[in-house]
Amino acid sequence: MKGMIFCEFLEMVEGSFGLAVMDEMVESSELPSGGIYTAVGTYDHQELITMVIRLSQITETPLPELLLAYGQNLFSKLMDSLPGLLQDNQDCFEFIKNIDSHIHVEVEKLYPEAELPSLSFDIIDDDNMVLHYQSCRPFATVAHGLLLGCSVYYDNGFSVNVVNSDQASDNEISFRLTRTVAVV
Amino acid sequence: MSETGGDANDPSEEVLTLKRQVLRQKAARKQAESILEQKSYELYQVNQTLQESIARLDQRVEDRTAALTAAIDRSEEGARKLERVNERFARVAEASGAGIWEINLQTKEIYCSPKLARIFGFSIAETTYRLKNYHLFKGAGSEEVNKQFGRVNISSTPIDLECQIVVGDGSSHWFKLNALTHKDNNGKPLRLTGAFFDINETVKNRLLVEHMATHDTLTKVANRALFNENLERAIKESRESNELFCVAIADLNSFKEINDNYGHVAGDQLLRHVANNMQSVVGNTGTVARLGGDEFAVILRDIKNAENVRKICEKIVARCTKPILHDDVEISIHISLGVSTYPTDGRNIFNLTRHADLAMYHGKRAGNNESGFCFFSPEIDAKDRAAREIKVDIRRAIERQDFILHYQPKYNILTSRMEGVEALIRWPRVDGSFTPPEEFIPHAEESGLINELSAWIIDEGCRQAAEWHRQGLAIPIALNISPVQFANGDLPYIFQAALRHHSLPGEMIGIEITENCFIEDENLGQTSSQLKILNELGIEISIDDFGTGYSSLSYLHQLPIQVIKIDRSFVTQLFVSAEGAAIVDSIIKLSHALGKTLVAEGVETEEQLAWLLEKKCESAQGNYFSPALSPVKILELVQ
Repeated sequence: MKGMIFCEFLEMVEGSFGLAVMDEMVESSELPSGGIYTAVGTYDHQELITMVIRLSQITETPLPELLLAYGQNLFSKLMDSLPGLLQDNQDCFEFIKNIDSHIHVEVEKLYPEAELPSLSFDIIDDDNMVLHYQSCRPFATVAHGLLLGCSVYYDNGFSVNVVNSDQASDNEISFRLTRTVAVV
Repeated sequence: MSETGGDANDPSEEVLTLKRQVLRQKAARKQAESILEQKSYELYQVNQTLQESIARLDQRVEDRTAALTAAIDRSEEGARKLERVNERFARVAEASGAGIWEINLQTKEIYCSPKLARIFGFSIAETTYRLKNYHLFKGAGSEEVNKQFGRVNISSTPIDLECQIVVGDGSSHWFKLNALTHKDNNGKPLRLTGAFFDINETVKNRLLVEHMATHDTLTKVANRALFNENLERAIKESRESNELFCVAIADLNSFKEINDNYGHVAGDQLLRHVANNMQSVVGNTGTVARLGGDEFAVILRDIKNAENVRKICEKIVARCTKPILHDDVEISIHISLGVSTYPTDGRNIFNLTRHADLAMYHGKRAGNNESGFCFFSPEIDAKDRAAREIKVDIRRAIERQDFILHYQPKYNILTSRMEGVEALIRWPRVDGSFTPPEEFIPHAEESGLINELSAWIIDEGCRQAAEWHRQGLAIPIALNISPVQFANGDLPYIFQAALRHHSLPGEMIGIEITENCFIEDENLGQTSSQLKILNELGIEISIDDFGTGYSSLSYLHQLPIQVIKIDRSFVTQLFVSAEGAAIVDSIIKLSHALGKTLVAEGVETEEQLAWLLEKKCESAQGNYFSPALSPVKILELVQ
């Protein structure tokens, strides 16, 4: 997993819980990398899981809440770090549909070794679609957060609801996205 | 208390926390630098590799560009060459007169040159359509074209044939068609390429030449060659089918006179008239041919019976004898037809034509040159055979000198003295009798043997006269001369030679000629000049059988004729009819008025003699006086 993810996580933790918590989280996680991350590096995603679990323990915050918040925070950071991804005047649904077919493709060009999740869609109508998320990493909740972050980015343009939550897992989940502002 | 064991609010703990953070960030920075350095190096290597690839690509592009440029140049050169070849081909095709076409046997696409369309007289689209649907070609030979086009997928043999095709203006045109099938290496037919050559003029000229070689130029009917060819075919077909057919030979009687009197233009017009009318009667079922001169021949096919043939002959005679108008003058001809029938009268060309010819001549003689037709019969053949045999006998007799002369005395009835003799040829038979002259003289004249016979008569007559003369006997001998002998023009020289040979004065010889000499020579040119020469030799000239010919009497004062011999037929009629006596009387008066001497022939009775004496006829001969006698008997008579 790219170092940028880890750096943003540490920054979010520091920003949300303070340097001490972040430091404690890092020191107590006994990470192989020693918590030393650079944005251009690549590290084992397990370290992130370890840190999130430790953070949950330290802050007594439920893990899903942390992951959700992280995902939401991560979206805007990703948008800032990959400026060419968003096309002008692109509708939110169009953007989401382009994630797998264009954005992930561009990411793979930059980071050939990246293990990106796969996304598929069921278009119900112009205002509704179901997004299926599948990943080799247990970051379904992070994905939920990213979608929330995306909605915020588009001025709360759509709502995100988990579909068939009983069938959802950390690696696989479906979301129903509904426009809050109808297409004219 | 934190996991690290310190109090987070403790300033020293905070410092430691910050220290750890700084250390981590430094380490992260170093890590980043190392990664960047590594990435830079990797980038540099990638860049190098890229540069090398680019260089190789550039080289390859350069090579490919050079190759492409060369290929383009070659292609352009090839295209220019192809264009030149195509232009040359188009010029050659245009100059050659060939209409070129090509059919792709796989796709059925057709190329048709503009020249071909022009040759056919259709639009290119129409020509292409007809090439595709070649069964639309119509005309003689188009069936063969269809057959050949239909076989192109099977046969490798080039197409090479002449055919007649109906072209755009509806006329039939001759073309030569050449075509060849192109196949691939597996023998699969790919294309049929060919050309049509316009050979219409060539064929027309060839057909014209062939027509001219087999047809008479003047009358346009078949010539002898085509007649023989058609007759040969008729014989063959009739042999197989057991059918009858007839051959007719036709001769125009007195055609020479037409030419002489009215000119050759009139004669040609008459020939065309005869040919056209024959053709109109015979139609397409038979053949009409001009064999030459005024001789025509007809082959009649599809005949049912003799009556059918007879009707056809009657029609031919009726139509051909109708007069024509030439320079406002009506001219007509008499025509004689002789007919032979296959297989009865012959099974080959020679016999069929010979028998038809015989029948024609037989009919002509029997009809006295009037128009008519005659069917061949065994009797005619027998007569012809007899005539041929007699001619052979005459020749043999001449060679063996079998002939003799007997002499009939002529008497001066005033003095009752013999004043001369008429030589009469005798042909002794084995039994002692004689073949009458009328039985062989016509054959001798017909065959031309008369010249030899006459030469012998002249020589023998001169010899005999010379012998009597040497014995002191002046017995002039009158020799009968055939009109045929005047045609040769050498009669005076024959007499001259004989007189010289026998040392005989010309006055001891006379000649007797009939009026027919003048019928044949109406201008009297040839006959007149010879008679004058003969007269100058001292030879007396008599007109024999006077009154029986058909010529005008102008020759009597134009020619050196001394004696007129009244024909025996008139003498016989003296006491039979008043007209008979009147005729003889007129002849006597005419002769005297012209200063001619008269001899009456065939005097049989004393009454006849007395009548002639009363009319002052000078001389006479006949059985009353004496028949023709041998030289020995003449001597006895004189002595």
